[in-house]
Amino acid sequence: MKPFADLVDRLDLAAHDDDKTALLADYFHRAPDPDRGAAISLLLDEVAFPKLSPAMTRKLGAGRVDPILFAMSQDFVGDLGETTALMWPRRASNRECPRLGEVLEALAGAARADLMEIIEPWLDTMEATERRVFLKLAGRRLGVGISPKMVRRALALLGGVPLSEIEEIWHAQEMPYTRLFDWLEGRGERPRPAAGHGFMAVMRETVSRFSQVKGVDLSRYIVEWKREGARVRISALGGERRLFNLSGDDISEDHPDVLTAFDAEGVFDAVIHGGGGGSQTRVELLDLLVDGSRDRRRSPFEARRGRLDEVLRQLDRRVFSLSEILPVHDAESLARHRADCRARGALGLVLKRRDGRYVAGSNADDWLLLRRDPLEADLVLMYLHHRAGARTSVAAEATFGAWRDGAGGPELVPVAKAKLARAHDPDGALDKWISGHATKRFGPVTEVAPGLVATLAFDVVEPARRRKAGLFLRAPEVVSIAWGSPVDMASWLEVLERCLDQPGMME
Amino acid sequence: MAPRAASPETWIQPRRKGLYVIPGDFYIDPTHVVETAIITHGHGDHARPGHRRVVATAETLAIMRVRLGRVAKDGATALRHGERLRIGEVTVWLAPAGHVLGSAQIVLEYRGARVVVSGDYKRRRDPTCAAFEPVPCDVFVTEATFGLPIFQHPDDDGEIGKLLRSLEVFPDRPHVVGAYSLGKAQRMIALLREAGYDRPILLHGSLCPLCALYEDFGVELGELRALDDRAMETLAGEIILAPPSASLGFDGAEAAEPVRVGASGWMRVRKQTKGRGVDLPLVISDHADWNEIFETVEDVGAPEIWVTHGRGDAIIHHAKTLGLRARALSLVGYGEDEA
Repeated sequence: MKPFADLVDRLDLAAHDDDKTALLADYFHRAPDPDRGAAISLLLDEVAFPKLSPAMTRKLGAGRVDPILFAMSQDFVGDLGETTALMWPRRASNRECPRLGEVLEALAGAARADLMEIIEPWLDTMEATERRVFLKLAGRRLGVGISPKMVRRALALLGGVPLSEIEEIWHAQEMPYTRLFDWLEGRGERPRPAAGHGFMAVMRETVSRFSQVKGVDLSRYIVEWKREGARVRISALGGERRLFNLSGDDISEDHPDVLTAFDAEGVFDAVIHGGGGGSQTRVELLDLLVDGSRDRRRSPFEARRGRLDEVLRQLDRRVFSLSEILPVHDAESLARHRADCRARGALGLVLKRRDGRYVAGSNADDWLLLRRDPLEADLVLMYLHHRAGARTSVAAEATFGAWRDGAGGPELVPVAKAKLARAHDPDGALDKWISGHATKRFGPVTEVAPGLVATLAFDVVEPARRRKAGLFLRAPEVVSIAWGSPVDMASWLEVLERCLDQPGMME
Repeated sequence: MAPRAASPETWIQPRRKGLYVIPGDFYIDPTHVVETAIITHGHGDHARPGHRRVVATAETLAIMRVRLGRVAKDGATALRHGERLRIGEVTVWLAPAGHVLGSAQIVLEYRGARVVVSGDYKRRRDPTCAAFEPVPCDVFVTEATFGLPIFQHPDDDGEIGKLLRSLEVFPDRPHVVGAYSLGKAQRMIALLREAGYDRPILLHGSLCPLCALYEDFGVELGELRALDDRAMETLAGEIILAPPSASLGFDGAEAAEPVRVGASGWMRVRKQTKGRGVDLPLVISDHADWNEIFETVEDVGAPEIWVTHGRGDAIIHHAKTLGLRARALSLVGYGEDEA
């Protein structure tokens, strides 16, 4: 458990993917089997086991520590699991600290009711760091942001092999990945890529900025809308039809109508939407991986797309469609279509290289995603949610409000919660303003007098019946502090309400 | 102890300028200028300039001389550990506190009662200073920097091992250890040397005078080099010590980004670590942790404890559940070092 705990502890603080990859590779180098395979499964959240709930964690702690000391400690630490881990008074234990492989095996086979009984004696065998990481793991919230791609890059680093060699066989490998490690450390043959239903990962778009994309030779790309909906893989091989989601889970039972209607043979990449409340489920085909029984992933996209056109002709057009090709040939028409995204209900544009192969994961720049421009609104700072122990008001979550007519004149209602970071306060002026304008404190929450306006970017306004404002802003980010901007010039709720069903507004 | 011992709270009082001893007319670690000050150790928040007379260990006086220039207007008295000094009606002597070089507990004896003001202290071994010695007393005055049960410092060697391991994982990046210039810096160097690290260690300029002083007092630190204007890429894989607040100008586009290493008791708590922008936290502290505070109270056998700076509430609560008398002195102005 200790090498894994040290790894997670550092991953948690690593800012760059390259650093995380180096730390992972070092761990793979040092940790034995099957622990390192178990680590991959845990970091990628591949294994299902009953989750240790906050209530159970609290109960574990309550059996061991003075409640007053616990409350004081949690006030300082913040996190319940971390507080429990750090102040856990150990009892003498004649057991050894469990290995990660053992931990995973025991948890995977455990019933929820037995969880605390399994966990408590383990805690006595661990040091603080191990307990902290273990409680996060048991709560299924390791939260260190490891993608399968980082794991594959770390494995390539470990074995000194090209990344593509890992990628080709990755989806045929399973916990505890022993054959993979054997090969990478020179003890065995390279495992073979497998075929069949379960082993094809979807190609992901690389999120790009307009400034990066406008310079590329657009004649080499096909441009399509990025549609809202769930990305799926339709696998129709040898008369058997199945539907998989992005994580590779079989979701065939959720959409039996789609599979019944899908009268074609092969493996397809698609987006599925609708189907709720009696509406017709619609499927937009994006790509073709296997045509009949022929693997087409190495063919150029343009050729695959051409075949897709033919396949579509034999399908029910009420359910199935093909992504529209947009007439984009220069930066100007690209910008025009991007500006059109909201009106067309698209999340953005996808640029696909005409000669690009179908590559699992998001390691290639063959598919570029250009998100639609965010909307912006000027809102008033209302509350700050401090992180316990933080030194400044900045580096907190902040609630922002819009005006509406109240009984006693204009009043603010919260519409968005966004992070404030140091970058918003290069000279400390914001921190100073906040401490000078705090009106009330409720635990970690500070209320400030209405006086500071910030410009927030957000993707869309969504209805929220249970909130005071009746709506909220999705994916809000603080763009800048509008110093000197009068608060009564900030947005009114009714303006935001108007954007609810009209995505094109406010631009 | 004599049956009619004077109750210590009648003759030692927390005042605006610091902890005042009435029958001796002196202060301990005063935060303002006073006539007579007894100084526990050389950290800036305890050893302030401008007092008329100062009593401390020879090491602390030397540290004050390096940091402040003149120690006292009318004279500094160096006391050896155990050496008695009569000030007014009070007998004063010093015992090692194990916090930094020269750090001392101040033992006060008056009318049959003995009070120990421990200043900042720690209990674990530190190759750069004398180990804490428990002195039996009626009242033990303790700090509470890490006065919560979540603070239980791990062994130093495991933490130093993390730093050495990181140098192997990131051989192209300089490792910048944020360490307070008095005490933590020298202890980090000494611990690295004990772990077998024998490369030169680079120092931010502000750390050099005190490292030299430690060596004058016989603490071996190995080869040290002042950080000059060398191109940052030549610092790949080196250990650099700098004050936590120092900006090192690693902004050059060519240079590898440094790994920022924190070394303090606060590193045990994630939010503290994240708030300080640290990549590699090492829990290495010059203060007693929760368990050590209570072990010490037991070792000195004091039925009563007073808590000075830090987090006193939890200590006082726990002391009472142990059947001890406990009170907070609410002194302000301490705790500015990087713990």
